[in-house]
Amino acid sequence: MIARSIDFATNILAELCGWFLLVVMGLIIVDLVSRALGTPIYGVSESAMFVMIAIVYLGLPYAEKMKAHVRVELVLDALPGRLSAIVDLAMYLLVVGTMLVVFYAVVINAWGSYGSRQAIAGPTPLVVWPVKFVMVAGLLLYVVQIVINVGQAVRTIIRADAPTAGDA
Amino acid sequence: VALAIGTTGAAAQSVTLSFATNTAPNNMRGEAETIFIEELQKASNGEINVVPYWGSSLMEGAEILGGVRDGVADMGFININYYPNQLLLNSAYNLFPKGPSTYENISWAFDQMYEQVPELSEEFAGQGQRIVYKYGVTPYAGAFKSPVTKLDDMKNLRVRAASRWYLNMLDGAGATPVSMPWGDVYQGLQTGAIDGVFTNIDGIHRASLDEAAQNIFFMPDLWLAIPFIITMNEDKYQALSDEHKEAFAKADAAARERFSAVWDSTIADILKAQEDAGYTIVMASPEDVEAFTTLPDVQKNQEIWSEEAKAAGVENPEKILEGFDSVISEAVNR
Amino acid sequence: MDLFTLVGIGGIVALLTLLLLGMHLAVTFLLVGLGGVAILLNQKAALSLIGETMYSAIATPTYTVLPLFVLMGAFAAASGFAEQAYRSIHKAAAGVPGSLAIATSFGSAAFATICGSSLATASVFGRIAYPEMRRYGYDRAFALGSIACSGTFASMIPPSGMFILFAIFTETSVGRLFMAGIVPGVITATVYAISMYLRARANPKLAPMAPEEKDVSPVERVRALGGLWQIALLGTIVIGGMYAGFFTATEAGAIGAVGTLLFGLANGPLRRFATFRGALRESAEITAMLFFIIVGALFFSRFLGLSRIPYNLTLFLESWDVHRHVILALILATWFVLGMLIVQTAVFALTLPILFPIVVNLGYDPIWFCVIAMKMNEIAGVTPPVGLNAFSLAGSAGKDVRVDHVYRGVFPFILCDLVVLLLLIAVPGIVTFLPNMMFD
Ligand code: NA
Ligand code: NA
Repeated sequence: MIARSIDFATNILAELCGWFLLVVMGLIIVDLVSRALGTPIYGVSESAMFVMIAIVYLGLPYAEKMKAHVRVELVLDALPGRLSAIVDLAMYLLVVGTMLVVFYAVVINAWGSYGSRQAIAGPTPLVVWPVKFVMVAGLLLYVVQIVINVGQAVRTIIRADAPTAGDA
Repeated sequence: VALAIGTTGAAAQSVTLSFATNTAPNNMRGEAETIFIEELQKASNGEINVVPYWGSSLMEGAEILGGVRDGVADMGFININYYPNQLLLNSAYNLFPKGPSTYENISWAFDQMYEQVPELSEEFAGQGQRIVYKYGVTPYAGAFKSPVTKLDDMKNLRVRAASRWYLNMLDGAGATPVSMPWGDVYQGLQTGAIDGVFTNIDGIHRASLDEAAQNIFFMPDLWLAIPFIITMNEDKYQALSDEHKEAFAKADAAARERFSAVWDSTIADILKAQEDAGYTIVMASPEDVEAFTTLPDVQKNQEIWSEEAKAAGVENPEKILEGFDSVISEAVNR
Repeated sequence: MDLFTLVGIGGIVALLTLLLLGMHLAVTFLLVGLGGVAILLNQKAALSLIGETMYSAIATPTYTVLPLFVLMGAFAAASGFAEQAYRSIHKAAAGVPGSLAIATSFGSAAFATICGSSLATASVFGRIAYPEMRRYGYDRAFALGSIACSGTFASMIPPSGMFILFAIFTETSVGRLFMAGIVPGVITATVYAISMYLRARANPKLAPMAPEEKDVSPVERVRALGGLWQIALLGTIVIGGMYAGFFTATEAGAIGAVGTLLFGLANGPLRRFATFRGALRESAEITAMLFFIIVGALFFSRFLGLSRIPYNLTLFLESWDVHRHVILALILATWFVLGMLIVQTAVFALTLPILFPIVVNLGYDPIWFCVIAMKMNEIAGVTPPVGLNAFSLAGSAGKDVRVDHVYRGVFPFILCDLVVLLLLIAVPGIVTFLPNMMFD
C-alpha cells in the first residue's frame, strides 16, 4: 500500500515535471513578447528559473526509480557477479547516508530561508522559501526511492546466496 | 630556550582568515578589497593573513551573508541588494538616488549612517557578523544604442536596470524599464533587444557594455548609494586579540585613504578609455539630475519601502528614512 | 605538506576510488565534498554550504536555456525531424567516409551561433545525432566522442557565456573575444572533420559504408539536400531573430523548442499524445539528472577551492622566474589537470584573474590568451573524471550510453584540440587578426 502510493507520487511528479517544462517555455516567450510590445512584466524570467529548479528536484525520484543516474560501471562489470553485487550495495549504502545528510542540510536551509524571508534581488522581491520546500519534498521522495533500490540490492545478494547454500 | 618560546609565542599569534568575494582581483572592486587585505596585514605587522576566494569561487554573491554567519568563510563581501528582505533596512540607501559625488563625502556619509542609525549595524549583528570595511563604487551612467543627451531622450527606450527602485524611476522618466539576466545584457544591447542599460559606470565598462551601446549618459550626482561591505564572522572577531582588533580599525582608515585616490582615477580612466574608443560621453545637466531625482517615483519608492518594512515588523520606518535623509543631505552639502 | 593540501589530495583520491567502484556520480561529488569541507572547516559550515549550494548552483536565470534546448532536442528526435535531416545528409554525402560525424561537427558549429552553452549543445546533438549515427552503424565511441567534443564549440563560437565570464575576470572586451573565437572555432571544426574522414577511411568499422552508397547520382544528392529545408528554415528564424534583436540567447532556447514543436505537430508525430508526453517526460528526466550532476560537481569544486590547491599552484606559477614560454606551458598543464577535476567555471574563477596579469606582463596578447584559455576550457569539458559535456551527453543520448563510453571516444579529439592549440600558439595572428580588423 505504502509502496504503491510512493510509486504513484513518483510517477505523478515525473509527469508534472514534463508539463512544467512547457511552463518554462511559455514564461520565456511571455517575457520576450511583453518586452517587444514595450510592456515588460517583471519577474518572469525569475519565475521560470524557480519552475526549472522545481523540475530538477521533483524529477529526481523518477530518475532514481528508473536508475537513470550517471555512473562508471567499468569495474562493476569486471568483478565476479557476487562481489559486484556487494560493491554495488556498499555504494548504495553510501548514497543513502550522503543523501540523508544532504536532505537534512536542505531542510535546515529551507527553514532558515522561510524564517528570514530570503528573497532574490531583482525587479520584484520574490521569496525563495516556496521553491526550497519543493526541493525538500523532491529530495525526501528521492531518498525513499534510494532506500527502495537498496532493498532490491540486498535481495539480489540474498538470492545469489540461496542456491549456493542449497548446493552445499 | 627563551628564543624558542618567543618564536612559538609569535607564531601562535598569527591568524589566517578566509575571505569570500564575487569580484575578480583585477578591477576597481578587486582593488578596493585587495587594498584592505594589504592594509590589514600591514596594520597587524604581518600577523593577520587573508586567503581570498575571488570571482565567486567559494560562494556566489547572494550566498556570502549566510556563509559568513555559518563560518564557511571568516570574512565576506556583502552587496546589500542581494538580500532585499534580510538586509531590508540597509536597502533604504537605494531610496535616495542623489548623493555626494566625491569619495571623501561618500565615505563620510556611509560612516555617519551606521553611527546615527544603529539599526543598520544591528541587522548585520542579527546575521552573526560585523562590518569591518566599507567602500563605494562609481556613480550611475546610462549606456545607450542611440544618442541620449538629456533625460527626455530616454523616452520609450527599453532600458535595463537591476534594482526595482531604479526600474520604477526609469518608468517615471518615460523609459520602458526592462529586467534581463545580467548574462544576456551584452548581447541584448548588441542585437538591439534592449536600447540601453542603467548602472554604475565601472560596471558598464567592466562588462564592455559601452562597446555595445556607445552613447554614455553620465550622472556623477547619482551615486551608487549602497556601500559595498566587508563583514567578519562575529565569533571569529571576538576570538581575536585586542591588538588584532585594533589592526582592523587601523586598516579601515588606511585603506579608505588609499582607495580614495583609486576611486578618482578610475572614473577618469574609464572616461578617457571611452573617449579614446570614440564613444560619446554626455554629462547630465544639473536640471536633468534635479528632474530625475525629484521624480514622483522617488517618493513612491520610499512609501512602498515603508509599507513593506512595516509589514515586516519594523516599528518606525519613517524615522529610519529621516535618518538617511539628513545624513545624505549633509553629505551632499558638505 | 600542510593539512589543506593533504585533505585536498585525499579528496581527489577518494573521489576517483568511489567513482571507479560505481558510486553515483552526483552523490559521490556531494559525499567527498561534504567530508572534505567538514574536515577543513567544521560540520556546521559544511552543512550550511551544501544546503545553500543545492539551490544556488542552479539558481541562475540564464541556466533556463539548458532545459529548453533539452526539450528542443527531444521534440526534434520524437518528430522525425532529426531522422530526416540525417537521412538527407547521408544520401547527399554518400560514399564520403564518416559523413554523419562530419555533419555533426559542422552542425554543432552552426548551432553554436545561437547557443552559448556547451552542455546544451552536447545534449541537443546527443538526442538528435547519436541515434541517427547508430542507425547507420557508426561505432559508439566514435559517435559519442564526436558529439561531446563538437558540443564545446558553443563556448568558442559567439555567443558564449564563458567568454562573457572571461571578459569580466580579465577586463577585456566581450566584442573582441567574440570576434577572436570565430576562426579558432571554425578551424577546430575543420580539424575534427578531417580527422573523422581520415579515421573513418582507415577503419571502416567506425562508420560503415552501406552498399547503396556506391551509386548515388549527383542529381539524387542535390535532391536529398531538399530534405533539410525544415532545419534550414528553423535555423534561419532563430539565428535571424536573435541577431535582429527580437530575442536574447536565453530566449533562443524557447523559440527553438516552440519551433521544433510546431514542425513536430505539422509533420504528425507530435500530434500523438503519448509521443508528446513521452518527449516532455524524457526532457524533464534529463534536466533533473544533468542539473543534479552540475550541483554535485560545483560543490566538489568549491571543496577543492577551499583546499587552496588551485590557489597555491597559481601562486607558485606567479613566483617562478623562467622563460615566458615555460610559464605558459605550466599554466596550460595546470589548467589541463584542474580541468579534469573541477567544473570549468571554477577552474577559471580560481586561476584566471590571478594568472591573467602575469601573462600579459610577460608580453602575451590579452585576447589571444583568453582564446587559449577557452581552448583549455573546451578540453576540460570532455576530460575524465569530471567532464560536464560527457555527463550531459551520457544523460541525453539514451539508456544504452554510459559516461565511460563517451570518455573512450574523446581522446582522438583531444589530440586534435592539442594540434589546434599548438597552431594557435605558433601563429597568434590566427586569433588576433579578426578582432583587430573589426575594432581598430
Ligand atoms: Na556559441
Ligand atoms: Na574535465
